[in-house]
Amino acid sequence: MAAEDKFRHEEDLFCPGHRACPGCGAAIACKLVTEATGPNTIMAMPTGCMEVTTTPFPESAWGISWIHNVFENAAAIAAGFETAYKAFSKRGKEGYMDYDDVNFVAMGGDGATFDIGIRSLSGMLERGHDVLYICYDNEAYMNTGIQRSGSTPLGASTTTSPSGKVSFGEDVHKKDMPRIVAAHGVEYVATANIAYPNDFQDKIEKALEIEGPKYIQVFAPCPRGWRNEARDVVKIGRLGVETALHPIYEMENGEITEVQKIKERKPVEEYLKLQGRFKHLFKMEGGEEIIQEIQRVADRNAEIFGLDE
Amino acid sequence: MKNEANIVIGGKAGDGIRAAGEVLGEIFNRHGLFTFVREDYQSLIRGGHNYSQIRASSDRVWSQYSPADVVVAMDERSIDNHEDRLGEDDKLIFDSDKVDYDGEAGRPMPLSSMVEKEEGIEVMRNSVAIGAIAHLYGLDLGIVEGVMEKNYGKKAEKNVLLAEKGYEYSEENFEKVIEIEFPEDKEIVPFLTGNQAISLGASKAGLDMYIAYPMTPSTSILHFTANYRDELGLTVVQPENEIGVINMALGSAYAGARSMVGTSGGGFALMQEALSMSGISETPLLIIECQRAGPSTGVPTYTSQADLKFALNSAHGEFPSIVLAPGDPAEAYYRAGEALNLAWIHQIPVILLSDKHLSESRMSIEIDFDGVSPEAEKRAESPGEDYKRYRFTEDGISPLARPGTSDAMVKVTSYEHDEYGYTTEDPEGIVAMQDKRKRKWEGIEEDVKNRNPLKVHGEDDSKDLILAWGSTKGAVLEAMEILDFPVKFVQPIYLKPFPSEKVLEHIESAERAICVEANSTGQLADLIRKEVLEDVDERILKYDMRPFDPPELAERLREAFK
Repeated sequence: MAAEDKFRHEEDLFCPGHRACPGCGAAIACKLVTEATGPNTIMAMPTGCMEVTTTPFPESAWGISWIHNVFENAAAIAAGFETAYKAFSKRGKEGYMDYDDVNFVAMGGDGATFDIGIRSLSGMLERGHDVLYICYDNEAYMNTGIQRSGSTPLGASTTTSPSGKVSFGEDVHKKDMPRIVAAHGVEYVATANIAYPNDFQDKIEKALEIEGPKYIQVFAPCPRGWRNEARDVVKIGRLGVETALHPIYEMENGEITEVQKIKERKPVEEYLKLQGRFKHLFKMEGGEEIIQEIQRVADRNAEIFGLDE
Repeated sequence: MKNEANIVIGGKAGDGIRAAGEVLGEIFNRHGLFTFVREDYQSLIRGGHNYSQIRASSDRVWSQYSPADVVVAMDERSIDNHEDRLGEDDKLIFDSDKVDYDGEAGRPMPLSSMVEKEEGIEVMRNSVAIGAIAHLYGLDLGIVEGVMEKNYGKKAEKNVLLAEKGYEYSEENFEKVIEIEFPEDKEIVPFLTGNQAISLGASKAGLDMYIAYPMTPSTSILHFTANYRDELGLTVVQPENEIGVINMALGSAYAGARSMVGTSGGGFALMQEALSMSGISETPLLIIECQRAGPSTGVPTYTSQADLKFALNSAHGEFPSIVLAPGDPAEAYYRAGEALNLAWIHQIPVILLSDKHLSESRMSIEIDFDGVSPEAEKRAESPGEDYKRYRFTEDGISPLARPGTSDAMVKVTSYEHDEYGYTTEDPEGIVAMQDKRKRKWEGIEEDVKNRNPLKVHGEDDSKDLILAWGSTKGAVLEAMEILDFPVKFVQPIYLKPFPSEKVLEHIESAERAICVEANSTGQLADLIRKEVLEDVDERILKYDMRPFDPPELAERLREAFK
């Protein structure tokens, strides 16, 4: 692609001019998703940053059919339109595209996926709808003011898990959502990272070839909530992988089939120190122990996924 | 000219507009003026248009006020949106580094370069503006400094410096708006939001646990209680959704903890099934429903009074409950405490309605913090193994026991049950238990009657009657000041049980009765018709999801009473 073509936006399905913060990882994810799914896509999106920032008239960013429903319902809405299409296609109802030519996608943040929407997600997975569910994971509720979610990692300070004199921030570990999804018998589960766009898009394309439910969780740093410089977003994304805190892998039928290896694993401090949400760990008494605990998470990931080259 | 300041600061989300409103409001409050601050912000993270309305006066203020004497515009849109608030001699301060404006009111200030010169960051333009405002009204820079230090902590130093620069610039270039007179040796009154008042009032009445899921405009209760949980003696939990919230609260209340949940209409909708469980199991619960503009996501950061019927008729099946709606932060403080007490005394769910306007606007108001205290519930003395959780009593209230104490076996079920809490499908048993719960109504009505369920403002002899509820109170009181004829204003604070006798008396003695509400159908007016079999003469309604503004409301009232 010629350089100037890279900056043309006429064909974009996720258009510039939306209201996400500079450096928003989730917005990068949306752009990558629509590029990979193409125009024959119907997307359900629950409440969250990407819904809030992409819809105020006249800056609507979506070039595909798109429906928002309240927080807990994206997977159910997607299951609904997928079922209708399937039924209409079967009955030969006029005016509808062929069921096989349409991509049914639900895309929500970690709060909508790990917490409030897990029931409808579980139901959709269990019933086997042909829906690709993508979770953009920025590890807290950002658009309502940075409250903790089930995805918030140990030690992160949020408004509802604030660090202070005696508190080191979030006091429990992040929920292992991909494994929960895989436990539903889902054929394809993968993690991705906005810092590795080609890998993410390859996974979307691969997932869409599979009939039935599939899940991709894309790691999407948030400068506002993580209190990092916008320019560091990709760097933090990479460090997430290079420290083994956020491994990139594929699971097929419950088995890990592919991992992104790490040449020289970096200590977690390198990842933590770029983010204001972990700042207190380097200052407060006992902070070091929490950092060690976070290092143990990374070590365990490296072992489970066989990350070290 | 009134000894009053009316200021609007506008800019994009991320320009520190809310912080400026909060800080300025506190500065005026500390000068001994009655202050009201309303934040208008959109449901987005960056960009768009936000503004704060700040009003301060030596007379009591209850509401924001549309005219302004100073508008501060951080961007062009703020000029477009707010210049028509200004009258002759009023001032529009704008960032001349970013915007061109040649209107007569224009007062250019190079906010951006002033911040840059002191190596500040862009958001600190608001502090330069605060400094300029301090000069325009003759405020005390020492107080400005004090408030900034309290609110900004370590970042205060630079903000204070920029405020001083703003003050100097304004002194050199602009004439003052008014030299405000500050009441001497006046006690500084609390300056707080409805949500802060609710948190404090419930805590004072013995709240043990606050459980909630983030939802505007209730979220600030979660932030406030999480932040001050040690000082308030609270446990604060944020579960996975509102279904988790209310069921956790049922669990903690069952275990003996005074528990409160907070949400807005959408979250309250999710809680309905569990609310019914609270009803049949007689598990006490306080629910704070901060209304916002629906239906569904609606206009999520704006205000509305459209959930009254929903609250009155919430959940399936029949069981006693209470619905009440305070109208200002002081009432929010007393009534939240009262609501918590009532829930435990009568072992019922109590729903306290607020809305964005009450929950998030800040105002100066006197509060007697000792006006709330825990009132004891009926407890079983030595429950033991034979404990009957649903023992039949004359007033229908059965003594409570905590599971796991004094060998108490406490059986609770969502099924209809006998006195022990065992499931029953026996027709006589069902009727007996339904009747027991129904008997509680009498005690509830009697109790509420003695707690000033409605307030009367204005001229008691007037034949012109206004009826309004919740946060609309503020605009009505202010509109009454503007009107040149006396009116009476009746504010029902309890909506269920409804103070029917009193309301009927007022309607019967009036020539014209008018309901003022922030919804599109007139839900209080409908309730009045149902409860007292009288129609009000007119409904003044507003449903652009912005709160009533006093001058506009006064005009509509003048028309309606003609």
